[in-house]
Amino acid sequence: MSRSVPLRAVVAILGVLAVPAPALAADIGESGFVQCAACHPAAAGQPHGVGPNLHGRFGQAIAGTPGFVFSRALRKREGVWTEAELDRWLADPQAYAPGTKMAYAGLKDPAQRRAVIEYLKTLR
Amino acid sequence: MEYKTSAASAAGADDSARRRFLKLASTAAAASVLPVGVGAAAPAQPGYDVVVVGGGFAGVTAARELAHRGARVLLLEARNRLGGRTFHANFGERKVELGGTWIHYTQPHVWAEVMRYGMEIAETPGVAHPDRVLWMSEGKVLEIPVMENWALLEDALKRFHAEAGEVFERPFMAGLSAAGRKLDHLSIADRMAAMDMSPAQRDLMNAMMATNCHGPIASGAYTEMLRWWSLVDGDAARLLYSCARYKLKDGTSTLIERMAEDGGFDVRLSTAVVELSQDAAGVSLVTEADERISARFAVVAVPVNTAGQIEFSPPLRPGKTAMAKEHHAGKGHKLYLKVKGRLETLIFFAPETELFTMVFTDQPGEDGGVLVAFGPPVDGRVDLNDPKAVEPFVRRFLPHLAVEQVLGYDWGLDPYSRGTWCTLRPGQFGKHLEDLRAREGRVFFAGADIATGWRGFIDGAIESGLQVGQAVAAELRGRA
Repeated sequence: MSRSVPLRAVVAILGVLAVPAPALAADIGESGFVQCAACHPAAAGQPHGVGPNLHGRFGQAIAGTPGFVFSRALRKREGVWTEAELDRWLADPQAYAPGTKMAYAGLKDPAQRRAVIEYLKTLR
Repeated sequence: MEYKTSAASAAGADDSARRRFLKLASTAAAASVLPVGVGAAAPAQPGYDVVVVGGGFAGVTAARELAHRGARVLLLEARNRLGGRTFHANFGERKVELGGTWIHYTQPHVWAEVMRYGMEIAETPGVAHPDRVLWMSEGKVLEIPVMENWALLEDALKRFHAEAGEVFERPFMAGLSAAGRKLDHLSIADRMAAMDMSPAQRDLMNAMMATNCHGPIASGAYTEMLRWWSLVDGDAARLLYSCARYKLKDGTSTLIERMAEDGGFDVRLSTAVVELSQDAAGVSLVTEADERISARFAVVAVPVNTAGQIEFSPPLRPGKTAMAKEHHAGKGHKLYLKVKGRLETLIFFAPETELFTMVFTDQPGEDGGVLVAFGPPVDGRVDLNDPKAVEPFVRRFLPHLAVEQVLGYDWGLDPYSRGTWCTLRPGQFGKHLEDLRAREGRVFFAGADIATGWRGFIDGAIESGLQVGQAVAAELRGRA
């Protein structure tokens, strides 16, 4: 009981601090998303492009977007698009899924990746 | 010529009508012997005359030509779009060409399509009318008046291409002449090494040539550049303009969509072919999704670098399998740079040891604009997706600019291109081109990579698609 109060307080403080940070990151992410947007639509209901529509995909199954034909390489990956999975994927797609048809060498800057992931989370 | 073409179309149309009639007749006959209800539950699968593999300009042209002659054509494209190595894509608020872009009236096949469909043309200002030309030589940025710079480049180009007349009697010749075979082992670098040039002129020429072959000048064949020179009648300005002045105002995607709509053939996107076999009766293809598709003939219109991804049975000629392993020289990068700060209409060059070899204004502006930049492969040494990694190079020429955004498309990583435009490596022209162009039984080959004239250009893709479409149409007529 005595431990739960400070913990709740910490969570509350973190919450206050954390709210603006991802919002800011998402703005930067929208700018970083320019490189993704050449191939990926992001508005709800838009047909797939060279890559699948990314609306609402955060937290969903990897290579699970209905109506898009994924590479065998990416279909082999199991699980869902968490922050950690997205971070590894975006850093080096060819290493994450060797043979992927996503023709992108990777977003090498961790802060930029973080920002793009925050932006992807807003697409819902 | 016109008479023959229209006669061929008429024959094709009659042929098609006859086939449609036969198909209806056979369906009726089949239905008559089947138990009631079965015919309705299992409609006859329409048989295709031709399956075209690859939906770039070559494949779409071949499919259109064949469909216009009455053939039943199915086009299979691995990507979820048509266009191949052309890609008109979003870059923020505007659209840019991430792949093949420029066309010119020296390019007869693509210009005929421009006229036929009434396409609008736009100019790339940095090449059409630059106010400034700068270049890097021995680590320093040089600038002289535009016309003086041009005289320096033109002098080098004329001397470099001195053998063009003996190698190419005229452009659009399929084979390599005896004179050409003697020079085919030479790289661009080899030929340049035999020229007397000042360091400033040599670096300018290196920049131009490394851009032309989209890689180090040791990787591109001298004969390929002689071919280009022959196509422009030895006119240096026309060479530059043919490569980068005029583009389609509404994008390459608009032209290919017009061609596909006009074609009257079936298209299936996101359908990669993994196997292609043939026998006396026809061709059979297996897709990545393990679907089997058969037809009487196939047109394979994929980049030569990617032919190894399809298992051919019987195997392909040695030249085709060799190219699928060796690849052509086009492996560089093309990036659009959104910059902040006053951007004039200009062009700048740097030798192949630098990140970019040619950069020019795509869109000028008082507060900023867009540059297009070409460079040789970086092999991971520089993060081309990071504006800050690209900015130092730009600032050596224009210190007041900040690079805000970059956009490119990694054609080398794309499994369906494995490279950019085709410039053959030394020796490949003489050794492989005949094999690359040759039909193999019921399988025909098309593509910008194997065109005779503007090889590596949109025009070459259409040239090749027209020729192969005609050849397959003749086969269909002969066997109908």
